[in-house]
Amino acid sequence: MMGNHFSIILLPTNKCNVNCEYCFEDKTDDRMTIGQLEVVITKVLSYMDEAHIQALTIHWQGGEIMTMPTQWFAEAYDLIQNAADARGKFVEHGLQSNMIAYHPRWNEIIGRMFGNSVGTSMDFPNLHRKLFNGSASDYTRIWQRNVQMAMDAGIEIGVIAVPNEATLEVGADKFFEYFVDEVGVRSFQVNTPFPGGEQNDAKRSLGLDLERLGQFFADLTDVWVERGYNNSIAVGPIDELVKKFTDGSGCLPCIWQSNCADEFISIDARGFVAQCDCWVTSYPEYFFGNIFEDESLGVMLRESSARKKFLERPAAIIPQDCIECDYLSLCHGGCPVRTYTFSGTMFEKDPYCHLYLALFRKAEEVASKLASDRAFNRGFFKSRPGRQPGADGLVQITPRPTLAAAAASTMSPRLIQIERAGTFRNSEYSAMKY
Amino acid sequence: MKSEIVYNILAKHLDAYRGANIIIRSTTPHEIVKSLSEADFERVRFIQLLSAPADASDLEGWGAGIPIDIVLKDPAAEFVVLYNYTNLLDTHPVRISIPVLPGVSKAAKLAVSLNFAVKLIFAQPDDFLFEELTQVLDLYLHHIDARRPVEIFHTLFLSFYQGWSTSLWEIAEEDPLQVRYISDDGEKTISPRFVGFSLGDDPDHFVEAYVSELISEKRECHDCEFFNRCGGYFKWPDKSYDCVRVKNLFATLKSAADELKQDLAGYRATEVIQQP
Repeated sequence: MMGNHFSIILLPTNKCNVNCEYCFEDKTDDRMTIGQLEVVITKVLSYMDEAHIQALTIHWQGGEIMTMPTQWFAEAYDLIQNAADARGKFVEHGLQSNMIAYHPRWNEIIGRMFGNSVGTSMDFPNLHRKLFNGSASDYTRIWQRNVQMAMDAGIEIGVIAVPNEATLEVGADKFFEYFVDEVGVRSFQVNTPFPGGEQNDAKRSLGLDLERLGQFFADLTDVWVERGYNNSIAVGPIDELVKKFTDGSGCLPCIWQSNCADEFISIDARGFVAQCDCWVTSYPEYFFGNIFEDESLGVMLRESSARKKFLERPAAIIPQDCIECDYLSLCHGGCPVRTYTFSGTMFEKDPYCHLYLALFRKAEEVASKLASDRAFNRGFFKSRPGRQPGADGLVQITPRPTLAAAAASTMSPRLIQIERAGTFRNSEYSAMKY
Repeated sequence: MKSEIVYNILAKHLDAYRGANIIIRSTTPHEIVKSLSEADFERVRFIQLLSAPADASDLEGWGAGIPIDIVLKDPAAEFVVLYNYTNLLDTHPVRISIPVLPGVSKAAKLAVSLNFAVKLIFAQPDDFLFEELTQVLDLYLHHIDARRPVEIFHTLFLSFYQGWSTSLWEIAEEDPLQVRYISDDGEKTISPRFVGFSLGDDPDHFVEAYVSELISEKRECHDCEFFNRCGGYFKWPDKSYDCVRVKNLFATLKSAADELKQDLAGYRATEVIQQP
């Protein structure tokens, strides 16, 4: 059902220590005990056995993860490691925290369990992230202080940012400067707004003008090319898209997977299982089941009528117009939860379709230009007849990948059918010849 | 049974072909999993699913590394089910075989977008299908998604690029010197499109004999510039089939291969110039 790898977005607590106005989560005070975690892990590993899955990634988040004691994670880590070892499975962990409750006592477990890396969230300017008893600026001050402290301790920090109206006002330059120059992070990702859960004024204000948002992403791409590309600054999803258009590598976010139902599930502190953290905290009507109540996770996933809808989504939406799109392979109709939140059904394409298209075109253009620059710097185009330099002195190349680029970079010699005389079972696609 | 020949058989005929090299086919993943033991794996060239089942999860954790060929019957109707097979890619090379029928371009596009290899199953396509075939060829040649072979184009392209001759009969897995298709009724032939036709007294050399006929009868093949790659493949079963649009496809592939060669030669030349 999940290939050879499985991911869980695990929310061991539904409790949060801050009061962000645009949060989509329907928060509760529930917290998972170590005993309950053991039940979860046992059922997940049993499911992996059934489905012949070898590797598991657990993305830990909340609620707010740092409302839990560090000792809980030390116990959780040992419990999971021992259970996985006993079944010959591989497990890795990722951590997402708002960092408001960060204290250096977390450093040891962050190093041991989470590869010395934390994902966190911040917007610029920060309008909606607030403390229970404090303003957005208080929140920002504490967050910056704690992130600085963690980075000083050698912890790698990645940031997710959601643009708001003020972001579009200040523009991409200042946005980039804030995260890179002021905060000092080397990796941040810009997500499109998702006003899930119960509506309020803050969420209503998240519906940004897509043209302006598209322009912001385009400007941010240019800023990244100028200031980030050669300095190993990652700005997702832009940098990964450019990689995708350059050599086919590039790890795209979950909103653009062929079907997220093939990739992961989310489990909250009450044991509810749903497609992702957005669904499990916002939309009870789409719960797959409850892992504490259902005997088998495998049976739950196979029989859940809610999950069937996710599996059926591509077949329902792709024939409409996505099949004609040049970027089908990058997007596959986009994010079900964004679609559901805006449209009340998941059987439509993502409402950010036009934004994504603009972003893909921009990334493709940038990838072509960077490739062209590399070739130009090597003198490839200088003396070639029939190719006219553009106004900037560089060759104007079509944004579509050229045959040469496609063939040279993506058709490895392994695919050439020179192995047909040998055994072909293990020689990948040349293997499809007898 | 000739030991070097690969037999394409139904799963239920497996017992009669134990020890032979086989392609095993069935409409259900479950039947294939049930039929084959690990001892058989070494002789399985690939498994062929003759339907597009909604659920192929039986194959996901089974027989890791054995290639799977999923054969569509009606590409226009079935292409969307390809989403059901993406997990197979974690444990198997997977190819989608698509008959050249209406919908072939959509099915090929989605298959390529999902990172599957593709094989086009040709007969003698009608003129109107060439519009779709041209789109598939453009996808293969120019689209960044095309990271896996799209046959028959891929091997033909490489043969033009590297200057070696090839045989379309072989690319299409219809070379009688290498493969036998055992029909549902037990008839031994070359491929499904030959079922019900006589291969004469010497099936191994059927293609040679057929090609000789085409040449001696001065059919279109006798002065065709692509004959050394096509070998009369498109002249079966109707020798009078007009190949003009097939030749256009070949010509596009040849010209693309020439362009790539020229570009890479130009690039290498600049590398030489830049060396001190």
